[in-house]
Amino acid sequence: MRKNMIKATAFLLLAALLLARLNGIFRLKRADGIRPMEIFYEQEKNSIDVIFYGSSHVYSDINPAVLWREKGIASFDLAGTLQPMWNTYYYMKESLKYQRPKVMVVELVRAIEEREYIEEARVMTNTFGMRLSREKYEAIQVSTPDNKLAYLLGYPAYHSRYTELSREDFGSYKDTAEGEAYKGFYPLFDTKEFEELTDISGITDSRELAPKTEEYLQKIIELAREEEIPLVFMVSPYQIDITEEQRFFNRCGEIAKENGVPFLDFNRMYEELGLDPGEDMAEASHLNHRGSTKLSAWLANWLQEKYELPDRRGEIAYESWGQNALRWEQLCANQDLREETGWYDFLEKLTGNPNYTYVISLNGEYDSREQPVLEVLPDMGIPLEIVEQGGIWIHASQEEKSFPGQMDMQCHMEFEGSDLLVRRNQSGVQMIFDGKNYFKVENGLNVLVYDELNQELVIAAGFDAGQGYACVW
Amino acid sequence: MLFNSLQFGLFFPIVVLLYLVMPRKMRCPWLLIASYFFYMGWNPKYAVLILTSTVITWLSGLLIDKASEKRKRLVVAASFLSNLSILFLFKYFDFMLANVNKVLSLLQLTVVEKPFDVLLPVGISFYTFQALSYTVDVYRGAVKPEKNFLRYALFVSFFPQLVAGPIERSGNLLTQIQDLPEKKLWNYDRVARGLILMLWGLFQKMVIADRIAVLVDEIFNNYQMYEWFGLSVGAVAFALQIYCDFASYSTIAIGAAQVMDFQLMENFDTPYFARSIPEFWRRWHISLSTWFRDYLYIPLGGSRCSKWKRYRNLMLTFLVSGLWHGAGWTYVIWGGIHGLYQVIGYELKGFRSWVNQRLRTKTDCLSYKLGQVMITFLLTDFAWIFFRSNSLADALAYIGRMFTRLDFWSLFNGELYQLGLERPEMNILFLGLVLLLLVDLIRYFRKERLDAFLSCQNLWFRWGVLLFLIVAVAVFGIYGPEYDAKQFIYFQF
Repeated sequence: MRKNMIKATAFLLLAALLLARLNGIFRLKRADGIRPMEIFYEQEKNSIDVIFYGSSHVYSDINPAVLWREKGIASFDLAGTLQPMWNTYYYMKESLKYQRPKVMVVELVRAIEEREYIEEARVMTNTFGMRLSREKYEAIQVSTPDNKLAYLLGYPAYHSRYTELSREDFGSYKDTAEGEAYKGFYPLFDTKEFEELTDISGITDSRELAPKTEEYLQKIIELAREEEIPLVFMVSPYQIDITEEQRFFNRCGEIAKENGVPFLDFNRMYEELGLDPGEDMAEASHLNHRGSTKLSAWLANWLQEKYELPDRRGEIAYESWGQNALRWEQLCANQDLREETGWYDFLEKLTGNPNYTYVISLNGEYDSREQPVLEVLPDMGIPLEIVEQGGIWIHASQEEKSFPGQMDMQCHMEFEGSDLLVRRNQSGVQMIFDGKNYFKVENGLNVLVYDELNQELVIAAGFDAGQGYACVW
Repeated sequence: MLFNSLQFGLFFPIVVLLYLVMPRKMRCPWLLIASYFFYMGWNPKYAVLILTSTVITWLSGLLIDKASEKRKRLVVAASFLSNLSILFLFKYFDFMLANVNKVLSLLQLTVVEKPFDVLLPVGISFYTFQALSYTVDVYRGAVKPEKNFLRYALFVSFFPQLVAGPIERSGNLLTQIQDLPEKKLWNYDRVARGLILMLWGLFQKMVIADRIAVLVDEIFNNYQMYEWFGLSVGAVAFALQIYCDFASYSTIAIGAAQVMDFQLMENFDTPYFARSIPEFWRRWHISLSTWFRDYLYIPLGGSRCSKWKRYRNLMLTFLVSGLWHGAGWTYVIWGGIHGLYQVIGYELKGFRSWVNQRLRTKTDCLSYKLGQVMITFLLTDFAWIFFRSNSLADALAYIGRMFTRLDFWSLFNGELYQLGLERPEMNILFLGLVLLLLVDLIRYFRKERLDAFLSCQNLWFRWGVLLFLIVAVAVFGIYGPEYDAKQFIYFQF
């Protein structure tokens, strides 16, 4: 009997381990709701001073790295895609078990929600990041009419992802470049140009919120009151036709006023923010990286002034915020490089950045004589022999490798989970990153850039000597 | 609740654990409560129906015991009439009304409006037949009437086999319920083997049946879009779907019962390896076939009568069996085809022997037997087309297209992967079917179920197979809310 019990226990343990591993692989790892909550748990207890709650208008519009750089504010975006008020309420409740922020800021674009339940996919993104707890149980109860047990367990909802698994599913989020330095922000680098920003100054009337949305907005106010934590309501800049939406936002403003909660409607504050309609929008309803920097800087100053938040810069416990800011600056530099089309500025930005590993190949008829490329290259640190004979030069933080001339060569470099193979043989030059050849132009300059800090391929570009070193992506 | 639901995943361990530690006297009431809870998971109102059938048949058992021979017959008739009336009302009333209205409209008379809406209660055909068999068994003196109502109620409602069989006989299940307080429940080997059977049943149901169902639904609901190849695949796929679906339920039922030390009768014994239609029926849904044999075919006269009477009995039995499977002409025709197969089979017996003799066919070799298996499969599969089709007209059109739209290009144009299941899903299905074939071959040649086969293998092999099945069910099983990656595409808001 005893032997059998040991056998049964061993088998069940083995099965449980296997299932736990499967759960780790299949679970959703989405940056638009799940990951912010999971990484939130990894933050040092009671270290965050400001938490921003809400929908994508938080995680794409408010950048904790900017708040850090501006005023040393330790903030976190704890938001989820299309997050309705009831999920925001439970995100708040759950977060207060781990942190005691000095201010809670709730973004209210989703106060326009009129449905009783939102799409299943959003229910997942707004609850699956939560640990198994009473809050998660209650959040699921109010989020979906069906499949409550499946959502609580999680696994039944995502077990069939086997056809869409990617490499990142097999690692933990801690394996990613950011780890706990991630503060919930998801930048948008696209730009959509608008001629002007919508004038909503004429819309002063309001419209009742849907009962469920208002119920949870009131609960949020009540929660902040009970916890004695200052609450701020805000509405992010929102460019699509917002006549009806603005009436909901006006109602939010009334509720805020009735309850003595500061209300920041940024749709009425474009000029104060200094938003440029031609540059700062990613699309009609979200700010891009430039716009979010403006909004975040404004918030940093306002919050610091109003709530006298401490400047955490220099404190050891807050190192991860500093890392987050460094990573953010590097991401901006990467974007800057991607947008650069002139060979000179490109090379200057490239060679001046300490986080880059890059490969430069001078091949074919690379000297067009129309542009002073060969004169400039040595000044940028590229060996003279490469400039004179052509060839391949690899610059990494630890080492530099030079392969002048046209002899066959092969060089392999390993990065975090990625491989770079540079080779030259009878069929020409190949710059293969994770199985894909990024070699662009036969005659001219080929460059491949890898960001070691954020562990990402930044760009592979070619400058065609035959066309005056025009940039080819 | 369904066996493959998360609810059952919670329900079963709780019921079993409490059952194992419960005082002996409480075992029967506990299982009865669990069975009713299980059944009411579909619709609490159904409990009234099953309770009614239970009370009627229980009382009829007691009355038969005490009544005179003449009265006994009356009681049996009353029990049958009342139970079959309930079954008719809930299962066949709409069907009958539709047919009456068809006739009335042909005669250009006013059609009858539906007086009420009824929902078909889950498992009503199964437990009604089980309860009726008890009445007949008591009447025949095969079992003594059960005086304890709770015990009898558990016999009718025993949750593992309540909604999809096996349809148990009182001689087997009721006797085991009577012995319940004496059962020694702690037996590692028995419990483990029961759980293995349940796991295999879940694999059959969730990995094979529910996956192949997607393909079957696509083809049968849009048969106008397919030609011989797609339609043939659809027909074969349905044969596999209904087998895996139905047999898996019985396998889980037998396994679940075994965990609680109940031995239920075998219900499916590698039916597609049958070499003739009569053999198929000895291997397919055995508990129902034997029910019809014992309570309909033999009382009608069975085969101990003239040839024509025997044929009549066969046809009647199979037509009724068809109707038992569903209230629709497609089911009746399906039953009729199986009856006809057997009648024709008997008629051609002499001719077949004559042909075999003339051609000097070896009948005791693998190729001949394999040929018989294949022909039997094709015949049953042909009949399944009627069973699955949405209407009789659809079935005929399906068959018509299958035999006339012959384009062999479809063998080479990758159509197999465009029948409703994408390539990865199809590959998983193939792997599942290979495993099913292996398990059935073991069953056929070694006469061993998977649990018995595994229990005499080495531990590493047994655990390897079981862990594989657990992972396969956990990953490739069809369950949980439908996950649609496309729902996530709209990332931003």
